Amino acid sequence: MSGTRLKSRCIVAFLALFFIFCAGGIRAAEEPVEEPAAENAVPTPLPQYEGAFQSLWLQRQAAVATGDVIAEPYTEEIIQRKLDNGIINLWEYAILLMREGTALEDKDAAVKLGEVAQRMAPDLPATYFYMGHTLLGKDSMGFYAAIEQTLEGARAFTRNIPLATTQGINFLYIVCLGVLLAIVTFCCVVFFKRLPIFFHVLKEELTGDIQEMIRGVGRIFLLFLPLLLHLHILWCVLVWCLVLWWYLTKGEKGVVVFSFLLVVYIFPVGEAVFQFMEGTRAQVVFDMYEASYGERKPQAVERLRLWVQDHPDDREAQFTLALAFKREGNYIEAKKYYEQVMKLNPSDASVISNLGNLYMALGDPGQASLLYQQAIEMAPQNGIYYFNLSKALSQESMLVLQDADENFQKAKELSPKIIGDHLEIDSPHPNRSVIDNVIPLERLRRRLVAELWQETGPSYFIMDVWLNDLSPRVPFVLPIFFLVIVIILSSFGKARGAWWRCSLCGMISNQTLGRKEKRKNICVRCFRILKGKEIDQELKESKLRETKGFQMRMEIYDKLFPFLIPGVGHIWKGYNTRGFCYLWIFFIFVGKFFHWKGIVPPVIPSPHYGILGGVLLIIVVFVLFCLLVLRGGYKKQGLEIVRPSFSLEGIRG
Amino acid sequence: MALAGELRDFNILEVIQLLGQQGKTGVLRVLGWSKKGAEAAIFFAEGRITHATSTQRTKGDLLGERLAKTGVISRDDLYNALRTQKKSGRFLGEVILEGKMADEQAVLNALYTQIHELIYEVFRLESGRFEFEPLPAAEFPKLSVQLNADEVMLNILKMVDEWPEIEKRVPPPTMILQKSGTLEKHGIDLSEDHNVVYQLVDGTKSLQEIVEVSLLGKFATLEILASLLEGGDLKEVGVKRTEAPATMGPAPAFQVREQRPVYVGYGLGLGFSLLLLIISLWPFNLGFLWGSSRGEISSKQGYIETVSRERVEWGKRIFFLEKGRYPENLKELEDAGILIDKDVKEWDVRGKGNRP
Repeated sequence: MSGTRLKSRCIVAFLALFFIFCAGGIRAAEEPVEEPAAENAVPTPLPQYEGAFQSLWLQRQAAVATGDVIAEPYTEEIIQRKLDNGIINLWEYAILLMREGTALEDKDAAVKLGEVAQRMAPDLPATYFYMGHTLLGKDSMGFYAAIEQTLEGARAFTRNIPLATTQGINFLYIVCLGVLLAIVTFCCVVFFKRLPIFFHVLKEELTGDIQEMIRGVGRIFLLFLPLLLHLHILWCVLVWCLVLWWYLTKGEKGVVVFSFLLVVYIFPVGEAVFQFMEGTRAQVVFDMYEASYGERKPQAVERLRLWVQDHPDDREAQFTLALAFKREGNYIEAKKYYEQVMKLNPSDASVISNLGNLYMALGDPGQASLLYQQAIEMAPQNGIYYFNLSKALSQESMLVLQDADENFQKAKELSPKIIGDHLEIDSPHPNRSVIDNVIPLERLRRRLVAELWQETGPSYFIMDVWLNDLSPRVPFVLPIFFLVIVIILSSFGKARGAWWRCSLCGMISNQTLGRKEKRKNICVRCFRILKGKEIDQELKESKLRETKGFQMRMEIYDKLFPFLIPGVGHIWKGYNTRGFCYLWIFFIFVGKFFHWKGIVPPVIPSPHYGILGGVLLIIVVFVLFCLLVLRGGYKKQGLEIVRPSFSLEGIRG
Repeated sequence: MALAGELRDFNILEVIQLLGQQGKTGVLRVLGWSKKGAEAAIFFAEGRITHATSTQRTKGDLLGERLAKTGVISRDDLYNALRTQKKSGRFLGEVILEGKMADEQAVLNALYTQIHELIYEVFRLESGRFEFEPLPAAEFPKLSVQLNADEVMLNILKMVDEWPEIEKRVPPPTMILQKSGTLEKHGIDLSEDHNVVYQLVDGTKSLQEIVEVSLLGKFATLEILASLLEGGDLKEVGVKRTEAPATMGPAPAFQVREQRPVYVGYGLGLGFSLLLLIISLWPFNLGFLWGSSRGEISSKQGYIETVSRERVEWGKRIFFLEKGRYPENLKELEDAGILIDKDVKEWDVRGKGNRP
């Protein structure tokens, strides 16, 4: 196997895993639901060409009723009609065939139906997943074929923009949910970890003079402030971390600030994405996909037409519309739109070639030839134009047959894959005799992202997200306020005499450190004991008792926390970034289990949501992940606790 | 400059320890902490502290004054020694010893205390910068103590650690102390340091005065006085009204706290907390993660509803092609396995849009 092929297989395998994760289960569960209103079931109008498909389908159903489960002539006729109409995917009929195949006991027939379904809708991933399952059901050792189908299904996802978009949103949603849950957990652990210092300081203040007591009451007030303001739980935990800011380590502060940025951005960005997806700009892209690659539903074409009326400069929409009209046989409308696009960009070779195709359909190969030659001049490396020219020349005159052949050979040389694929469906029908340029998938994908950016705007991400008021009780902009507080606290830094905890005995003090090694702080008394300089025996004994109690408590926590949630043990022991990442991954899994069927269902209700072995794989990966993280969290040494170099045996705790 | 930095970033004790471990010879200057020109210097010879000076010392802190106050040298000798020092530019300790004006051990003790107190002062600085400058050994005083940097560090830490406790144990600086006579009565011998301090108590000197005339320095003197007072070997006989109130320690951060009734503070804090808790928890915003009081959920639900509607349209078409008729309700689509419960449940839940 060559390196490139191996690499491509790896990429496909990765994509497959991604979609396993996104798609999750094997089959959507069917649960009883409340009775919805009957008015929801009003039928929608059929497309004009649908009548022919429908008629053929009904004939096929009659044949199926007589015992011919495949009814090949009818399915073949539907496929040929589909090609004649320039339709690439017939989603509904592919789904119907899969539904029939699922009910069949004869696995050979089910496989046959799957193959037909794939020809009906080559960009529908479910057809490949269906085939994977069916092949495995037919032959339990046929893993290779099943996996190959699964990988092909993953590739189909990349070609199907609406499905890939919904799955992408599901994935992002779960990832964001994981982040938010990880933030809440992280902040809670940090809060719990640093709370003893807070309470110690509070105790000191409440037993002090009036001024200190007021300070203590203010401290309590700060603790309850997020609740008073009715802040969101995420903001609550962040504000609590802010209250304990001076007691946090640098790593904890870093994660809190990072979490803060995520909280500031995730909600508004999620909002923006969902609103964009609901809006017309995203709909246009999906309609362009539907008109170019899908069933070309009349609603989609009509929406595009209205869009073009409002946006006469949108070349891509006009180009799509022109091609849709041409494929439907409405050449007058097609010509109108092609000419409009030509006016907007006279040097677009694909438009010129498509206009040539239109002239071919209108029976004017001479004019078509001129246009093809013009297209070749602009893009001499595109085999499609040579192929179309060869077709036009062969129709134009017997005298130029040699030229036609030369152009055909040139086309095969330049674009062998495209020409080869087309020759398989080549026929005299105007939609099949020449090759129409379709708006590339890559351009549609890029346009989707560009439209999102354009609709939301950079100012939204730079300014607006920071100006959100996050609670009806907060009269000011909380994100900015939070940021200002962080900057102020960080600028002033930890003043001399700030409170800290001894890593050996756990004593909380605001006096100077005896020794500091990375994150381990030793109090003066412990340091003197360690150095053998403490001569006061009573003091030494009381300190050793204190140390033993603290060490025992910490040992219990060190053993207990890793078992609570994967990642918590790491955070407790001071591995903040790693712990946060583990929490994140864990909660992604949890989110996936909770939203097993996804937040946004696929637009096309195909019977198979998932792919081969998806559930098993997710569960195995999840269990392995948990075990590995638990092991790591349990075994790691704490970065903030110093184990005594002397024996504490015999000391009464 | 061999080593320089800010006191805000580095603990001066860590710097001293480093210089001691590295066996450096030179002077560590600490400057810029208060007035312009304020400077303290700690001298190192092969990693050992030999000498310390400061431009911000009070008269009482100066070596000569200290020796004169404690009676180690006379005022006349001190005057002569200072004149000689001015002319020669040499260290005062050397001049005193060369002139045989005082006992060498007494001068060394005074120097020992002086170094510790100066480093303690420097240690307490919150701002300022330090610079270490290597110097040739010839520039060092001939008379010097040789203090181990680690030892100095531990002593300073001990002072820092125990100072608040000692402050709590000693009476006010104006308090006059007197021997209670118990030691003499029982014939108890004190250690050398304790005895030196004990002998300074004469029933007329205030605490402040005893500290000033003691060569052991503030910390050690007060520690000894506190232990003697607790042991009942000394007693308080009155307050010296004529003296202006003096501060004993240089530690504003560790001022003795006036005892307050503990339970009142706790009670107040607890009551206030409970009040806040009741106010704040009702009604608490329970919107978790994506849902909140501002309706962030609406856009997501709106989009889900749009997709669900589209799915239902697809479902109806599939149902029609399969059964030859349109479904009477969505339940039929669900029963046929075309839609799932989610598609039906998500309907009509859309709230108000909230465009960013």
